Amino acid sequence: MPAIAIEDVRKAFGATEALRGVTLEVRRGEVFGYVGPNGAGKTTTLKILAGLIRPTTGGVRVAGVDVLAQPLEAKARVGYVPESGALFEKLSALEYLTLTGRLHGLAEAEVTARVAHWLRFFDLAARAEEPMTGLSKGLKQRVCWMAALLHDPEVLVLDEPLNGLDVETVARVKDLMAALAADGRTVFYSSHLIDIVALVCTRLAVLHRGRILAVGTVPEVLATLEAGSLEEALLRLGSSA
Amino acid sequence: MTRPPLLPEPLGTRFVPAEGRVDRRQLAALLRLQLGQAMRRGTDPSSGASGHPLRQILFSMTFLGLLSTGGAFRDVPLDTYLARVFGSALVIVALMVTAESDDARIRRMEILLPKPIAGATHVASVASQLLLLSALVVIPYALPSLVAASFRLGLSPALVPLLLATLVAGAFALVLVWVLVVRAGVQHLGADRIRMATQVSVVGVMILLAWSGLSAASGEALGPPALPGRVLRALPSTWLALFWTDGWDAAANLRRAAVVALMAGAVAGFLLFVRRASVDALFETTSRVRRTRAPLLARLLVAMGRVPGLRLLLPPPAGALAGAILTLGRREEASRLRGFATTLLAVAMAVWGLLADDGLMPIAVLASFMVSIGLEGLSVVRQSADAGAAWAVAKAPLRARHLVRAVQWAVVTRFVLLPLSLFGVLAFRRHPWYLAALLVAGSLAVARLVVASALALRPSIPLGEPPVVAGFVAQILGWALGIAGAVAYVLAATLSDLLGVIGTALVAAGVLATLAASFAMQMVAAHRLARLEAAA
Repeated sequence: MPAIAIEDVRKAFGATEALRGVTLEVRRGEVFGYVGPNGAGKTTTLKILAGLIRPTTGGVRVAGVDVLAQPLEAKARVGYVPESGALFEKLSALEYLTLTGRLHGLAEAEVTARVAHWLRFFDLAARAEEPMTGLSKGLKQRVCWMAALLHDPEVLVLDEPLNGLDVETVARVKDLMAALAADGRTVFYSSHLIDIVALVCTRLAVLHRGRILAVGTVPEVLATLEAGSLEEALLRLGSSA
Repeated sequence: MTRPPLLPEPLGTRFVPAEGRVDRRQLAALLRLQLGQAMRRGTDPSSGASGHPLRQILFSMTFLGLLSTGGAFRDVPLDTYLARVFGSALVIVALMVTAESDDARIRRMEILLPKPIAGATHVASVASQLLLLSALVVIPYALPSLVAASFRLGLSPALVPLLLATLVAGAFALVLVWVLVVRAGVQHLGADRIRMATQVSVVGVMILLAWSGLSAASGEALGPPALPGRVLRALPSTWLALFWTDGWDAAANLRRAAVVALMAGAVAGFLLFVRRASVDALFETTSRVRRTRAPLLARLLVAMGRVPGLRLLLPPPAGALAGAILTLGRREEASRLRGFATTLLAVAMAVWGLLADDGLMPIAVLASFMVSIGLEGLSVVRQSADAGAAWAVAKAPLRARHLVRAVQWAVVTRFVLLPLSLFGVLAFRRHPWYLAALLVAGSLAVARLVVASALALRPSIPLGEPPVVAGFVAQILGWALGIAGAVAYVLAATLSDLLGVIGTALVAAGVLATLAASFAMQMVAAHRLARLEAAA
């Protein structure tokens, strides 16, 4: 059973068609890259997976659960790091994460233990009780990561998750993605940082104007797109956008 | 299989709430998250303004409530008084519920919608927040009026809590429907326009209520026109106000039944909408995106800098920067609403001045605005929610004197021009043309002097400070300094009246001295700004 199954998904915003029949399968335990030029439809796909918006047509299953028919079941299995880094910033990281844990129905002891674990991992324990308005963009991004990981999701959906992170945290996050995959979790990773995508992802898909152009390992994608490197492939797509 | 050491212990069971049921623990967490964000001190993502929303609501509503007690000190019948208090409280509470900005709404959706929260819990959270907001707005507003009514108009003190509870219930029912109206408005007109319309209306209503309360308390007949008794009695807010004090005859009971039915209908309508359109519809409202362009005033200033003869007045770099400041100010909500109350008051004063032929007060008040609105305008021009805006100004190849002139032009055209024009209209009606012209020129010079002096005292790069709502003390200080402007006007008019040509010549000399001081202060401000830039 694939961890993510997207079947002929279309999404229109008024007259604009953001996705034009996307079909994709991601296996359990994969770190899967999702790349494409600006406006290709990446964020729209990720928002559909996270249950933020509904596709106009098509089907989506996450961890075997139909996102449209059983949205709560699906959301309980997905962790989402949004591109915007949205948080309720007037709260402290500790308050925000504790309340997020409760929204996921974690028991109090579990909330405390898991929040403490991720605060340590992301090296934010010392500033956990400050209002997040005073934190830098990178520190806020760490809180977004923690909020997405708290409920031990089976599928982690990441939209430009390295925004603002320092070198040390990026290195930790890369290890974390590998550890999650080794534990049988699935990471669906969208980014413009194609070097990192190529490095950490087992397979990837290239999206252009709402359609998947290529899926597979990096050599397979390069062969399909007849390009020498991912950068060259995306530059070519970008110039034709 | 052992877990990699980076990961915590796996979860025992995965929680999935039942759709259609309110999960109390999730509801409590949702409320704490959203109320913490909405009410605590910090920067509001919708407006970009920083402040303490809870204190602001409590302070402004209590202040307005105290002003509204004025009616209790006149011989107003209790029924009419209660009807006015309830009517105004319901209007205020409705207008306080406005659309979120698109950005804030999208960010909230990105946080909450991916969580496994049942629709019923979302709805309960929205309703609880609306109930709390209703109580926060109407209790501090109505309590002083009801207490005053129990002292002055014979309202039984035992009825005060009952009336407050009734008002909160009515306000809650109203905002449930109002949320749907706002939502429809956002879909058709855009969140930005709806926010602007409701915020402008709130300021207008507050000014009207303050005016009405003050004029009633002072026994003046210059209050805003009251609603005719027949109209007042036909309003559902009046039926609610008289729920406990009306008689028990058939007509009164019919009104009671009608108001209960209306409230029940509001709750049912809200629930029906949520059920039919799915709870996500409450969150997924999207605004129409429109093309935007720079405001007319900004385009005029930029164009002025290109006209050869006008370049002396406004050099092209200063014109371009003034245009940029005005454009940004128009798009940033925190600055857009600043100065609006003064502008409305200026219009009210002009209307008063035009209606009362010999009134000295309105024209003197307008004269006082040159100082207070100049200061307020400068504080707006200093601020921006966009950190990059100040960087663009600081790194632009602009001379410090151009910066000062740009700020002066931006403040004068956006904030001072309207009150100054209204002042001019009244001045030309009241005084000989030459004196009126001198007074207008003097007022303009005062406004420019105020801006240049404030910049010299505390130089800062335009758009370089985060938007902060002006503190109460700062506002009072601005108004107090404004009184000096009013005194100067009265002095100038009296000199000209008493001493004829000599008096007018003295006024002209005063205007010239102010102009000279304005230019001198402009240079001081430029010098201090240049040092600031060099240090940066």
